[in-house]
Amino acid sequence: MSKSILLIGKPHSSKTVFLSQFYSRLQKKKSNLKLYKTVDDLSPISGAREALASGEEPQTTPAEKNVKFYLPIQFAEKQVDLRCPEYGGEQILSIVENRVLSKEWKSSINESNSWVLFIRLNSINKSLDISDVTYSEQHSKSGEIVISDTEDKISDQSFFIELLQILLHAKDYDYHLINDILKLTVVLTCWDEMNINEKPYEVLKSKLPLLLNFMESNWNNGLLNIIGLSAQGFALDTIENKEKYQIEGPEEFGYLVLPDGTETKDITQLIEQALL
Amino acid sequence: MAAKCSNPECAAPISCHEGKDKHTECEFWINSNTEQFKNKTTLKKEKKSDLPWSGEALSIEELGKVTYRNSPIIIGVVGKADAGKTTYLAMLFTLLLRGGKFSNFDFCGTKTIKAWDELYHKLKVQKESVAFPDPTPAQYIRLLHFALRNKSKGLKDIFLSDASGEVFSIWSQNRDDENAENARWIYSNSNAFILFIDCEDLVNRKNLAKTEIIDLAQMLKHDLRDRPVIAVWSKSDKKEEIHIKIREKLKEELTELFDNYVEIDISNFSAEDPDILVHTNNINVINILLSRIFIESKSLVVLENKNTGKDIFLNYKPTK
Repeated sequence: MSKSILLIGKPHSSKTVFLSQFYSRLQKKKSNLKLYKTVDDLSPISGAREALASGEEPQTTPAEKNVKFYLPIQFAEKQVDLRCPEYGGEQILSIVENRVLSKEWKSSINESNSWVLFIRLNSINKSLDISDVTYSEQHSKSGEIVISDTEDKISDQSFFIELLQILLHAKDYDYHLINDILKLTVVLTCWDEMNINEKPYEVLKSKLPLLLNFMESNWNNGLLNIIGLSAQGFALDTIENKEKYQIEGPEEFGYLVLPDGTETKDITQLIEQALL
Repeated sequence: MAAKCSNPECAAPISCHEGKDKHTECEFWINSNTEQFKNKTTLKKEKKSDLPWSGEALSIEELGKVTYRNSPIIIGVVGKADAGKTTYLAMLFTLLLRGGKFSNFDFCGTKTIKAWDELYHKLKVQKESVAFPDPTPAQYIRLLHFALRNKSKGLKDIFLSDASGEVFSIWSQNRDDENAENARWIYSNSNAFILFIDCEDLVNRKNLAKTEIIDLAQMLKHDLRDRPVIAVWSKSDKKEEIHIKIREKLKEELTELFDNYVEIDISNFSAEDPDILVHTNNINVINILLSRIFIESKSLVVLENKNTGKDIFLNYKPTK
């Protein structure tokens, strides 16, 4: 089993809320997992914990904050560290843009055989391209097409493919072979915002098909896992919802959607999924 | 952003318009880039990337960065200027991003994702129009890469060439012309060819356009050996507007010229969803070439097996 789990995600992909909720559940002993020692530094999630406890949406982690974070987790007899080499997610953007991995990242990649990739699908824009249906008839006259603000930036699928290619390179992956040691868990976050009933695999297939194709052709079937996560459960934008958090506690909310489509309230199972 | 030469015709840093070995020695390059470079060195604090690929398209010299691991398949994309060659590449990647797949291969990576993605962005609908890719500069040649996996999980590296149409026109008239170097390189190094037939040009310039296509096809034929060619009728939403005599004559001559002649119609404009010309055929161009490349390099026994069951050629009518 892997010694550590590497958590990877762009800024605003819900890493903070997940870790905060995850930690709260461990503390309240609402999980098969526990901490095998005290966490050295909880400050990266302390703001989010406070906000959630008072029923507020956590502030997003400042991008310039270059914070490492890790949780020492005990799962049955095994000890494993959940590692986040850089918390804001800005370095993830920079890895693809500047094509450089820091020492910290390189060692995290090498030490971990279990990668968890957070993808927030509802922030991914599908731009209209010319292969879309009857472009000429529908769109050439009506002025309804919104100019995409992602112009000049790499598209989401290309971004994630290149990110994985760079991480795989650091892992000395040989494309002649298929990954049979490294486990990849794709977590589609903010699941509640998408209002869908499909299985996570189907959702990824319809939204990011080339990325899925890339992952499926480079990972052994059993080592690629796609799940959904709503770390918060719902938006904290009404008094009613806020009160739920204030009265019952944030750890009562949030859910995972397992690969077979079943929902579970125990979001700490995400780590079990990543280790299996 | 990459630096550019002060001569807009020049493709430096890929190759120098003035023919200098090193583009940095060319006066036109120096003119436009001295100041930029000064600024860059002071501004650039970022660590230099130590990755062996940049994500940009590869030049001929850079091919080795990928080919060390495998003997690659190079597909030469051949046709006159404005025939839709670069747009075809853009469409191909766009369709993959939308979930399109090659029939016997899975996408398992690319060393040129930035170049692919830039092409994809060109085909995005901005406001009310699509800005098709700019004409490919004359001296320019680059290669775009796909890593594919066949059904038995074997890795295949595929390159598609992206070179200016002008050089093919020059080459079709004089194969030793000093300005046709890129065409010669593509011709001698490719494992298969896509020959572009521009329907719009045949509508407008009629027999003149046809003669140019035949000239190019004949040059393609002279030392073809058993390398497969697929004729691609681009902008074929206009194919019906080509005078029937020209259309039939051209097809007849091409059929005579190439053994096992195969052709396919493609377009960028969908009339329905899914549209065969757009969504199916653009990808099928590659499907057909790949199955030909891999069938023809195998023994006859394997070839027989390949022809049973779901064979891509059953969907096409290769004319003998």
